[in-house]
Order: sequence, then structure tokens, then C-alpha cells
Amino acid sequence: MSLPFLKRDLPVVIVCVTGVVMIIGYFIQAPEIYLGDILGNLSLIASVIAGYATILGILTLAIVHVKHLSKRTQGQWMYSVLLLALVLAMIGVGLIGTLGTHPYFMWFYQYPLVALDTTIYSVLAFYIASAAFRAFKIKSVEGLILAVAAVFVMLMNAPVGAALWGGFPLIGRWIMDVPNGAAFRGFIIGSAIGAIAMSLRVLIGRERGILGRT
Amino acid sequence: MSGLISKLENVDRRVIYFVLIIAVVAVLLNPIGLPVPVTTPTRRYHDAIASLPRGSLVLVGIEFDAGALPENGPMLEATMRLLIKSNQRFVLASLWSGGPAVARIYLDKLKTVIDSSGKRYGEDFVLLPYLVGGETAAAALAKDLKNTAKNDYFGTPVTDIPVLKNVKDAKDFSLAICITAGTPGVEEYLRQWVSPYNMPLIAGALGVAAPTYIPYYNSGQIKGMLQGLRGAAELELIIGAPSSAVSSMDALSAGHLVTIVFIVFGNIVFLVKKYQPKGK
Amino acid sequence: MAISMDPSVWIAALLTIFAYTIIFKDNPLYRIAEHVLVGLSSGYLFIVTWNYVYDQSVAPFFKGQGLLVAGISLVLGVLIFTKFSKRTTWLSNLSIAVLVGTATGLTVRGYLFAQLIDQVKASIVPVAKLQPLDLVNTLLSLVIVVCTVSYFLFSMEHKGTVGVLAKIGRYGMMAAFGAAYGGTVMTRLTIFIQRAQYLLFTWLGLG
Repeated sequence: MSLPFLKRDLPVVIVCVTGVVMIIGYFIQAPEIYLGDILGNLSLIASVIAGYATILGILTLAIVHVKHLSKRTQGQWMYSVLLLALVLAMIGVGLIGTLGTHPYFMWFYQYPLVALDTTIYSVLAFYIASAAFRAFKIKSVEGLILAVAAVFVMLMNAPVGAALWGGFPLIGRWIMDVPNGAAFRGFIIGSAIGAIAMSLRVLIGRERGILGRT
Repeated sequence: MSGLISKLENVDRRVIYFVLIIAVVAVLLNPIGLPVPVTTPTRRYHDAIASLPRGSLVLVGIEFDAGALPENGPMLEATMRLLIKSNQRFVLASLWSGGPAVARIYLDKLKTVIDSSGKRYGEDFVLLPYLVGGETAAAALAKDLKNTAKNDYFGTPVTDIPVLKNVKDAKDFSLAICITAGTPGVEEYLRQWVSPYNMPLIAGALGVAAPTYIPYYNSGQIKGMLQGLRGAAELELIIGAPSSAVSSMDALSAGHLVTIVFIVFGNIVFLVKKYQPKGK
Repeated sequence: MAISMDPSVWIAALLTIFAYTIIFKDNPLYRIAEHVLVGLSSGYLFIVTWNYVYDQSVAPFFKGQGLLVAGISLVLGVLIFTKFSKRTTWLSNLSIAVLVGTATGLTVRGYLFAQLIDQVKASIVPVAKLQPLDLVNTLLSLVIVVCTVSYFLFSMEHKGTVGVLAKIGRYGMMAAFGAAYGGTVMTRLTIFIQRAQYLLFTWLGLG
């Protein structure tokens, strides 16, 4: 096997073989060749590779911040010190006893991490309120449909809707079930066809971009 | 008049933030107690669990982490209360990294309930560690649970855990529950648990995701669904254990009303400006 | 009013306030909160991921069981780290190929049944025994599904019949986006309300 084959073609062959085995194994039961075990183990191996890739990502993040620290990047390096210190603290505490079960590890998760994660997510509530007043302008029929649907669904979700008028939750429910349900079903069918087509292109080697640089 | 319209159109966004904060805080400090009618999807979610034969094995997929804790957390708490109350056995698993930590938070919170029910860790329920890989992990778990999760969250080999003694694959479960904030979540369970193994599935979805799962609910692929915090509040009321979801409903109403008023008022200002006679 | 004396609660409350300062403008307090979050999340993710990876690809060698799968996982996993060097980065493509091939195979079989066939079947409902309102809703749903899929036919111009179908599909999609917007408002408000409850009740002890 030449080096160009190993670099360029072998990955495509691996994608094709593993993909076809996964598909065939779904339709054919062949215990005599341990096909079921092969499928289970392939899924397991793929998940482990994903785990190592995650660790690669974390290492890359650490390297970026170590570079900021070593170059004393103005306005950034102090924050990088904080970040790296917390990464090391979390890893240090996580390695005590059974991985990730120490009370201090849980403390880091339950107090600072939960507080920050939820707060960052909740900031959008303010931007939604601001956009509702300043940007949500109904300029077309489509905009009107969007606004009406949004208002009725909001009044269905919030108990105040049912308290104001019994029709709000009923109409909201109808919007969710009929136009919303049907439109999202159209999305699901369309995206399923697209995903299958894309997967077939990957399996026959027409999409090499996903494999990255050679 | 046009000066007023112009001022309203360009109102400082901090004024808008302030109005929202005041509305929510005021109602949190002075709750109104609006009734929360129970809807059919929540009722079906409850019935899917309550109608199981006692001692059935249920998979609870904790497919969210800290960011979705306010909305999915109450769903998980109410679900675990219902599983304990209806005497089911359950396996807590997660394709999200934060899932097991969230499970520990709620296992600690429900410790008194668990102890008083006589349920014991390992014999009636177990917590598995984070399963890396998203859909590939979901497929591996369905195919061979003990090979995929070799130890439980606390490091005990799964072969030593009584509740998993006779469990090999998805066919050994009676029900799968997916409480999710996104991907991996409902669709991965549909593709790897429901379709191949005909597993009944119920779901608890974030408010933002619930509309996208309605087609699966309407087709019967999802047997019951909790839609956002409202769904969690409804389940808390059905099981007779009002908690954080119910206590947030009034403030949720206030926030929604403020948003609707902003949309309406903003469009009134827009229309007045659009149809204002020129020169005024 | 009984303000909390628990240092953990104070840390969580102060970090919450630091993070909320972003709604006014970017500032050092927000940057601190942001980097604390990224640092803790990265450390947490490393530990829980390593726990799984260790159990699957390293621990079997100490137990003497499942050596073949563990060995293949370990080799392919370690090859991922060749990405750090331009000369050896092609080796990591072998690992990615296994991951992509497996995931693609799962995708094809999963999407085909759960999301294509089952959803199409659900759109085709026998109408003979339906009540009038259910009949109208079912027919309307079918029309909107067909029109939504028609909207995404970009290989033909949206004129004539196709144009009408695409327009109806667009109206259906706008209703769906409105419903999604309503759901988004509920989710974000919920998270804000929970934070407000934490600050008001758990930290400041009001109410």
C-alpha cells in the first residue's frame, strides 16, 4: 500500500466498509458471523474515538490560553490564568477517588457552574424582550402569521391565557398541532431525505471534506 | 406627536429590561395563584408511567445539563417522584456530560422521598456515568448495556448491580423516558431505541424544542410529552407534589404578558409612524 | 429578611450578578464570569470523558477482558492526537473515518425509518371515520406537509402551481416559527425566573 493510498483513499474505504456493515447489520440477522456483536462493538469504538476527540478539543483550548499567558496578550492573559487555574483545579479534584464523584467536584458543578451556565442562557430573555418591542415589526402577511401564532402559543403556555379567555389555550393548541405540527413534519421529511442523500454521498466517497486535511 | 413616536421607537433598551425585571420580581414576591389546567400530552406522559406493571424497568435519559436545569430539572424531579410512587425500577443514563451531575443533585434532593419509599440504590435504581458519543453511544447502549456502561457512576461494575442483573439490551426495558434540552435527545432515542426495538418513548422537552417534537407526538412515536416548564408544573400537580415549576407559573405569566405587550405596543408605534401624515 | 450566610450561595449569587452585567455592556466582571464558566466546564468535561474512555480502552487491559475492542479503541483514539503535527495529521483521518462511517450507517437506517417512513405514514390517515373537525385538521395538515416540502424544491422555479404550493408552505412555516418563538420565550423566561428566585429567596432570604 503506497503512502498516497494510505493518506487519501484508505479513510474513504474505511468509511464505506464501516457504514455498509452498520446498514446491512440492521436488516440482516447473522449470528453465525457475530454480526450483532460487530455492530455493537463498532458503535462502542466510535464512541471512544469521539471521547478522545473531545479530550483533544480541551487540550487545544488549554494550548490557546497557555499561548496567551506566555505572550502576555494584553487584556487577556490574566483571564487565561484564571481559566487554566480552574481547569487544573477541576481536574485535580475530579481525580480524587472514583473519577468525578468527590464532593468538592460536585460543589464546583452545583454552585459556580450551574449559576453561570443558567445565567448565560437567561440573558437572552432580556434580548427577546428588547427585540419584541424594537424589532418585531409586522410588515407582511408572513410576519402577521408569525406574530399571531407566537402570541397564541405564549398565551397557551402561560396560565394567564386560560385565565383571560378559555379560547386562547384552545387556539394555541390547534396552532401547535395543525400548522406547526404539519410544517415541522415537512422539515423532518425534507431533512431526512437530505441526510440520507448526504450519507450515501459520504459512503461512496463523494464527500471527502469531512475527513479533513491530508 | 411625531416627537413622542420617535422617542418611543428609540427607547433605551435598559428601560425595557427594567420593565421585565420589575414585572417578574413583583409577581415572585406577591404570587397570584393562577390555576394551571392540565393538558392531554402531560396526562399521557403521566399515564405511560403510572400504567406500567409494578416493578417494571424504565430507562430515564437525562439529556440536559446545567443550562437547562430550571426547565428540565423540575421535569426530572416530578418524573422520579412518579417512578418511586408507582413502584418502578429505573436506570438513569445520560448522553450529555452534565447529566450524571444533575442526577446526583436530584437524588440528593429526593433522598427523604427515596428513603421513606424503601427504595435502595443498586437494587431499585442505578445511575450510569456519562456515555460519550451521542447517537453512537445511544445505539451501543441499546445493543448491549453492560458492555457500553461497564461501571455505574460510582465505579461499581455493572455485573455487581442487582437491578441490572437480567438486563442485556433495550428489549429488557418497558419504557424509555427522554428529558432533553436538544441534541442528543429525542431524535436519537427515536432512531436507536424506538424504531429498532419498538420501545415506548415519552419525552420532556424544553419549551423551545417542544414544537419541533409535535410531529413525533402526533404520529404516536412519542406516547406523551411535557412541554417546557408548563408541562413540568402540570405533572407536579397531577402527582400532588407542587414544587419549583408550580411556584414559577405566575412569574412566567407576568413575563409572557410583558413580552406580548411589547410586541403589540411596538407594532402600534410602528403603524402610527407609518401612517402619520407627512410634515407632522 | 434573612440573608444567606452560606459562602457557596454567595459565590453563586455574585457570579450570577457578574454574568448579568453583560446586558449593559462588555466589562471585566463579565469576562471573569465567562472565563470561570469555560474553565470549570472544560475541567468537568475532561474528567467525565476520561472516565468513559478509560473504562472502555484502558481498564480492560488490567482486567484481561475485551482486549481486542479495547486495543482497537485505544490505538484509534491515540491516533487522534496526531492532529497536532502537520506531518502526521493524516493518521487521525483513519480514526475519524471509523467514527464517520459508523455514524453515517446509523444515520441512514435511523432517519429512513424513524423520520421518513414513519412521518410519511402519519400524514396519510384514513379519513372515512373521522369527525368533521378532525377531517378538516387532517386534510389541512396533509396540505401543509406537502406544501412545506414543495418549498424546498429549489431545482424548479417557484412559479405557477409550484409557486402556489411554496407560498402555502411558507405560511405554514411562519406559523411553526411563531410557535417556536413562543416556546423560546417560555424557556428563556423560565431560566431568568429561576435565577431571580435564587437571588431573591435563596441568597437574600426575601419572601
